Amino acid sequence: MRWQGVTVDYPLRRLRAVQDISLEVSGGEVLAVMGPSGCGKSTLLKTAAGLVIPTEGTVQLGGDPLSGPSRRVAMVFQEAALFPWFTVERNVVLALPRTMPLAERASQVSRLLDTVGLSDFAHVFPRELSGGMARRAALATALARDPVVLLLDEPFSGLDVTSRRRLARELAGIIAERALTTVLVTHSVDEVLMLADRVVVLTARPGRVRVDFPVGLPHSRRGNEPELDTLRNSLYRILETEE
Amino acid sequence: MGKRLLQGLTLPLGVVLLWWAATEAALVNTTILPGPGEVFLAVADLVGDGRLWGHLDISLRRVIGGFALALLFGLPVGLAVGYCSRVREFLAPFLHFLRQIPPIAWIPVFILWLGIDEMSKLAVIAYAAFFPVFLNTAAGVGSISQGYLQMGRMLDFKWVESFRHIIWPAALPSIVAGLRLGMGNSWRALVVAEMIAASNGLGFLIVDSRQRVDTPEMYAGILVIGTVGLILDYLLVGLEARLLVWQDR
Repeated sequence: MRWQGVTVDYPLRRLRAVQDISLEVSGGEVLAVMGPSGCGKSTLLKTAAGLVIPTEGTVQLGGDPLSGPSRRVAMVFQEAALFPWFTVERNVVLALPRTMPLAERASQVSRLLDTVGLSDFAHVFPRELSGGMARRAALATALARDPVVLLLDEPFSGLDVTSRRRLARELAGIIAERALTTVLVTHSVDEVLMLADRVVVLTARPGRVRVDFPVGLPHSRRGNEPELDTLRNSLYRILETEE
Repeated sequence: MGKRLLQGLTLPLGVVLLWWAATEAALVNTTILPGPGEVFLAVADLVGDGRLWGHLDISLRRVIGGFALALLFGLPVGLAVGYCSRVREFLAPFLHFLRQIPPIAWIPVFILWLGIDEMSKLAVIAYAAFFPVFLNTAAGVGSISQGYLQMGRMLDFKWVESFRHIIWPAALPSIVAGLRLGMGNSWRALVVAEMIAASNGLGFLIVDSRQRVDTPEMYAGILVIGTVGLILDYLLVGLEARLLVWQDR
């Protein structure tokens, strides 16, 4: 996935969300995007989803420019990540390719719910799930598309520390197993350090790439490696000093 | 449940008790306000001689017919206005103008246009129910979170799928609220229409009994109208609970 000179303006709101962003995420890489609130992180993610078309520049997936949502890209939204009027199972079914035979769908759904640890919650409505469970259910719907690229918008927001760490670990496992190219927008430094291969920090609005640095650790992290402490400190330093 | 029922019944029972005491103590003229016992006997008489069923039957037919007409127009217009800003700009000013005119003002017009028979009554009832149905449907569709629509785009939904899986279910709580308000409106409009121009129905029963100076029966009619209205609303509350199981209550 590649952004080339991407600028996004919202003319109605008279604002420039991101400006001249050029980035590349290679296959299987996990890129974390951080930055102050309102700096255009979510907009950047939506350009990758094909939901927002750049005012200038292009977004490419495997060399082809994106002109709308692609089957190969799945996104977990921050809010409205599940349809509240459908059960968890139905949410996942709706995300499956429509060409899939009916018989196969049931097994696929149970496999996906098993992957995210929600096998016992297939017939439950989203309001009955805890915050962490709802995120995992949303992840199952994203995985149902069998994507190449996974986009995650604040997957840990609103979760308590334990749930965040658990979700981060589970995510790391799923991403590694499926070799998903992942772009993750978040405020959460600890989870970034558990998941990301690379961290990009954007400036305040309009967002531009301010820092782009590699984490340089293998995927199977416990979260308490000494190298992570150094990275954590430098990341906090960057985030705390505004440009 | 039992406690709530008891709480809900406290005030009506208190009113009946006061009413009874006032008539027993001859504080009121019983020709104008007969005692509760007399009124309940009048209800029993109406039930016993079958007249109540006749009036109730025709009133319910009218209200269901008029309400169905309101749905037939209110739902699609509400969906279109909520979904499409062009339609909204085109229709909304005119509909908001119409909304200011109470159903009762149309009764003479509808009688002139549609005759004094059933059609004019159906029109008044439909008109009364149309606005809550239309406005709530439009508001429900208009306030759907962009996030759900974007999710639909990510899932490659065609228009029909977006409607089935997002627009309709997301707007349904508001639509059902509109149905309840609309049903209440049509029931009230029905009674008014029947009081002005009818030879049967519960509204007619009230006017007729007043002309015959049969005040117990007049109050009996009022009691029945309130009770049936309440039952209709409870039926819709039941429908709401069934349709919106996914919602937090």
